[in-house]
Amino acid sequence: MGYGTLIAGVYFVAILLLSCYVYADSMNRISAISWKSLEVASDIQFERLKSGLSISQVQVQHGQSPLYLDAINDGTITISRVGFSKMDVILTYTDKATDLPKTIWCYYNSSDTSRCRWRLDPSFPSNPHPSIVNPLDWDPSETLSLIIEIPASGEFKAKTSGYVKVVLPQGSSNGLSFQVP
Amino acid sequence: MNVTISSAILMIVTVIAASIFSAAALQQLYAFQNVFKDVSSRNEEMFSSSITVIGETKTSSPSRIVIWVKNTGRTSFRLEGSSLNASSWDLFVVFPNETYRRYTYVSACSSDCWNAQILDDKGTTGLWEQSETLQIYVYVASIPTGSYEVRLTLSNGVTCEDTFSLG
Repeated sequence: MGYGTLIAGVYFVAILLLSCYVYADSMNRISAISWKSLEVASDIQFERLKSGLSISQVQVQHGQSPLYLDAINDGTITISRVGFSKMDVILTYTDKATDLPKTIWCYYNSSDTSRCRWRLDPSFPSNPHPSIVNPLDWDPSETLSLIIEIPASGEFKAKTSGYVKVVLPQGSSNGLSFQVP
Repeated sequence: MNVTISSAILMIVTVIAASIFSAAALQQLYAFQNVFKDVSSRNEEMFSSSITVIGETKTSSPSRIVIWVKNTGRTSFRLEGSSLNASSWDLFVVFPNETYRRYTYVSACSSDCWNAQILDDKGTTGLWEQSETLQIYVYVASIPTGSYEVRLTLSNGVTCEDTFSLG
């Protein structure tokens, strides 16, 4: 056996070993990334399943008054104060001027009166309430009281019904209908 | 002497052949690895993406179906300005008469297309981030009363759909 054959053999074995390394490395990376991806996907689903709210009460006094809404966190995770701005409030009501139902998305803490907007009800000393732990965050079984204001140009039509839907940052939602006196 | 020269030539030829083979093999191996890495990254992006339709309504003039879609995943999406923007998404609407239509994204849409805006876009402007809501306007010729179905598919294949009715 000449040196040429020996060198070719060494090359062959080296390539074989390198192939095994590249393959193993690829598989390792793929399994790591796949594991991480599945973990993220599960986290997203778990967070959504563990979050939940239930609107306990919606009240409106008259055509131009704001809407008062109480929602209970009946999930098992805390919604942080930062997350309030990521919540959605969608309001459906009959507009007095047009006599047509209107569905609008409401902005959080907006001072623009031309938009539908919502904020935490300041009449409660602590909101969410009762606030035993994490005073600023919305913990499970605590109630969040909101004030929803329709655009200044609008007015609820009397003796009609409406619907309000609140969506949590994770995508869980709950809605409740209300009557305008 | 002749045998030594022949052996030397054979050895050189063998080494050259082995080198060419190893270079080609290595190139293919790295290509294979890159493909796997690419597929994994795409899967990672897809697994961490989730969108949910949270509401629908209509406007009369202009005649538009309004859809609110929430980004419930951890991946952000750019509406415009990148290669994978809203123009590569698919938006289908099934009408009450069971006809369906795919609408294309046009930023300055006025008829038979759709455009969108990120509501209360407090993060990076123009980037549809986690928990942000997208307000989609589908410009349609008319909105007959009845049940509708909407399906939005992003460029990475993540889909959300919802059935609703408009009066």
